[in-house]
Amino acid sequence: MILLIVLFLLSPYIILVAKFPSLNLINITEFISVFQFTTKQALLSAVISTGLGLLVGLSLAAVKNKKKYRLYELICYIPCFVPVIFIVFSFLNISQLLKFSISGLFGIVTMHSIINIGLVGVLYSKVILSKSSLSNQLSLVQGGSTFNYIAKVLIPLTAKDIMFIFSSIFLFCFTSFSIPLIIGGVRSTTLELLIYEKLIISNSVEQAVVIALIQFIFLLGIMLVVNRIDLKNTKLSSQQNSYFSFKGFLIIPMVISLVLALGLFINLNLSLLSVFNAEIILYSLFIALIAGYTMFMFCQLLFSLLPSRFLEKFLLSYSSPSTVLVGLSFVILFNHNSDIKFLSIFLIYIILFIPFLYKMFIQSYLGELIPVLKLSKVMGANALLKFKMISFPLSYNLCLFIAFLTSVWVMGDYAVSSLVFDSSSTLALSAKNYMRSYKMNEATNVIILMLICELIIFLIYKGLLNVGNKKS
Amino acid sequence: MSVIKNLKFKLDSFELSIPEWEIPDKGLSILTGESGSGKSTLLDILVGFRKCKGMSWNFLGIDYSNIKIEDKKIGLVLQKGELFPHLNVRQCIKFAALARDNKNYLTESESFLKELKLDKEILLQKTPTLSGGEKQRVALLCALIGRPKILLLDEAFSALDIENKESALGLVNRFCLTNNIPALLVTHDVSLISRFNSHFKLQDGSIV
Repeated sequence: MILLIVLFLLSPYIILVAKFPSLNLINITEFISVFQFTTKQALLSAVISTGLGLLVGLSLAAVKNKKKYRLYELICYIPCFVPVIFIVFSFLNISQLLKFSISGLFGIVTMHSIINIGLVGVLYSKVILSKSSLSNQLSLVQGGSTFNYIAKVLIPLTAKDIMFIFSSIFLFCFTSFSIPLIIGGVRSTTLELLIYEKLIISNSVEQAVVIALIQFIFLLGIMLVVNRIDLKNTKLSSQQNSYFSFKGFLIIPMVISLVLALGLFINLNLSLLSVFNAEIILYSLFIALIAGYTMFMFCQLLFSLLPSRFLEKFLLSYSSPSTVLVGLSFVILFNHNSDIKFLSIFLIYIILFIPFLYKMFIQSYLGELIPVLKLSKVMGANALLKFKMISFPLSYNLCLFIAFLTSVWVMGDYAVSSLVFDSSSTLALSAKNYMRSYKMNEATNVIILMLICELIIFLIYKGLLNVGNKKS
Repeated sequence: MSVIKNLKFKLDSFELSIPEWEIPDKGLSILTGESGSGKSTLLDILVGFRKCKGMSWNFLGIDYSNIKIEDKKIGLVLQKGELFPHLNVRQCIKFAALARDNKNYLTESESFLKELKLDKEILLQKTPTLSGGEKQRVALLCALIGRPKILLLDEAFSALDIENKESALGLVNRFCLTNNIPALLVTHDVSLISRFNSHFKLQDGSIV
């Protein structure tokens, strides 16, 4: 079973390698120009996100009160966890109001930075807090200036972690698809967009495969070089980071979240809500909930297979391919069967979301879960008993939360669904179409419906959580 | 006698090297050693949490190093009295019984509760609310309910006061005698040595 999971997660790579056609199919001049733009936007986005994010991280690590830390952490996470479509919509609204253009390189870099600054901040604050030797190092420079502390202690101590964060953001921006799809103009094509264009517009699967593979080889090179962060010892302590107490940089994620919220409702016109198609709403809800359900089942399957050092190591080092690459591989595989093609979208979501979800939520939980699972094994429990009495009840809440996030993201997804569905069969696809043609009133209409659907999703999961907790 | 052969394990600068170790297959044995001497690592290897290539453990005519953890029928009690955090004591006992198909667990657990000086009210308590000593005694109870072929105890009495330690040791002794099985206590507490039939010492990664 573990081998099947590994093969499933690696399937996009395997399919593409199996289908690899000749290199001379692609237009080299076009490829180089797109590659240069993609690298440029990813570098700029990573520099800005990391630079500002590190400042946010410094201020966040200076927060000693646990409750306040959690609150700021949540604010930092908002742009990262909210579906991209809401962020794009919000900032398009604001750009229209303030009469400036947010398309092209500027738009893409701004969006990427908005999404990643808070995440970098939280990660860096955890790096600072997890360096247990930091307080010892600090004592050596007592009496020095804050600048000395940052330059002589903090940066050398966390240089590798900063490089990891920078590289991760670079990779994220390099393979970003949903943002360039709406914000990028004709001259702002990224590699992901180029693959998409070759696949959907030019209907040239071979060219798309070649570009996807070259992109993958480039990214693999970066991934192999990058080190990982070990955040096992993250804890708040009054002794740690006492040298830097300026919390002012926390204003950055707070402003971002506030502007995001304002931008969503700036064009609100409730009369427009009368014009909506119930079928699209129900279909979008259905897709989101089924995606959440399949993710729940997949997570339960993972937990039932633990403890397994191989599986844990694999999931920790596994990076999902880009959105278009996964979509492309499944389109190649199931192109001739529309029913299977429809079902494949749920597998695509698992492949795309699980690496991030595993590293963000599951990995840290395993520290508590693995000893318990090991104990049940020693006690002689068979797989069914272990699942029924231990792994299912213990992981139910976490799996439900992951399923909830999946449903929320899928409700706002227009990237993967544009590869599989018709152009306006879901709310997110309709919103994307309106936004691309700057029909902001219509887009507002759809966005509000999406927000209502997200609320319904929240209520459904809250109900499931209550039922589960009552039963246990 | 059960015989362990060729146990070699290296982790960074630490090394365990036991060419041959004979452990009595009946009665109580104790393994002492200073903190950091590798006692818990050795226990992890015996349980099967850590793999040790080339090692063999001949116990009851079977190579115990080559069978699945769940099939070894080990009764394990760890220092912190690890239990299932989402279950109450009754559910933990039930789980231990179901795992090894012990249909007589209600009667047995009642008698063990008495011997371990635990009130019946504890059965409804969730395990995270138990004290350290209670956790160790409940963990021991669960280990015995599983009718093990061998008991492995890692500092299993460290949180108990003298009176409770006596009753727990007495129970382990009686259980081993009645069921004709061995128990191995791993500890740094040398005051317990006189209560055991055999004593081994782990020093610099070797058995002395």
